[in-house]
Amino acid sequence: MAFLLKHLAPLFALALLAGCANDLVVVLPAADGHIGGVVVQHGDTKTLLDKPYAAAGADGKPVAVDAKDVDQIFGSTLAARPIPPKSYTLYFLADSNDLVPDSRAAFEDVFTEIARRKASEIVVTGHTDTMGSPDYNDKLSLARAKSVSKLFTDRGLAPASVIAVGRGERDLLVQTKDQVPEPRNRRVEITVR
Amino acid sequence: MLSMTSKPAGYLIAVVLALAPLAARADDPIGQVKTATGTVTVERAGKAQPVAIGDHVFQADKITTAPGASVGITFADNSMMSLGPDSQLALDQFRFDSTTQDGVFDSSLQKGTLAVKSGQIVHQTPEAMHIRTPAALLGVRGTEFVVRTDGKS
Repeated sequence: MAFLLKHLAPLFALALLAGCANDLVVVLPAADGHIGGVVVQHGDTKTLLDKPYAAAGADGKPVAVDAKDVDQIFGSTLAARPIPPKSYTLYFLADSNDLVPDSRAAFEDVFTEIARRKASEIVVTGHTDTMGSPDYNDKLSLARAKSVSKLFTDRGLAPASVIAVGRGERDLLVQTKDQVPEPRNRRVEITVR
Repeated sequence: MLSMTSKPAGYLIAVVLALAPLAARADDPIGQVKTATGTVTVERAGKAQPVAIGDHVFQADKITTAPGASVGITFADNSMMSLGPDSQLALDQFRFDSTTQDGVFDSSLQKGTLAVKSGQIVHQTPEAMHIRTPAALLGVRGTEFVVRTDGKS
């Protein structure tokens, strides 16, 4: 038994090394410059990678990697990335479903963006200002999102590809105290993805 | 007699109605295939079927690319993944509340290569997205990254 342990242990260690020797995690530069990072956890060891081209094996040990290596190893994987989602903000004339003139151009841009994509969905997200209760604003923002969704389905988009979301007062464009009317917060965001 | 049979039926309807919204949520698509080249298949409820651009993906799907193939998916929280050739990815768990943006996204890369860009789930809750490989567990704090595994632990 002692003989077995003595001679097999190095073999097991070797198998472990060989097993994940090919494993690799690489952080890429972020388009917006913000990198929150990736934590690589192997057993009880945690390693945070939070710089462009910071890389590690599955064991969390650092690996030197540059852009050329990434292109060589992950080129076809990166080539398969979807076109990133693109967002537009629409504003409406007070108490109506009519867009302000500037937003009419943005509304048309949405269709150009859809045409660029082989398969697309649009997410219509309603936002309110802080007037009224949060619950009321959830309902109000969803109702606005649904009515704006209709502008898109009326123009021929399949209803299944138009998703209405109400974010209420969670995502203020202009920070205000509670119960403050603010037209710039009463908006609808369109995301094409 | 009539009242005796109608009562259980009434309960049954109530139970079905109560479960209906949950069932609908579990069946909701969690993402859409945006790019695909070569042979890409999804294993869903034990059956393998081909995947094409525009198809939806669901929680518990297992996606496989043949050698030379690749696929790109955008998820309901705007996170994105692309899978390189000869790779396998299981979409283990995906929950997302579009109003609060709370959610969980757990997947497993069983072999091959994967590119990931995190979305609203991670923006709302850092490390609510995990990718498991046979050898490691990756906690995503918000970033774009690539990962490769040879499928051995």
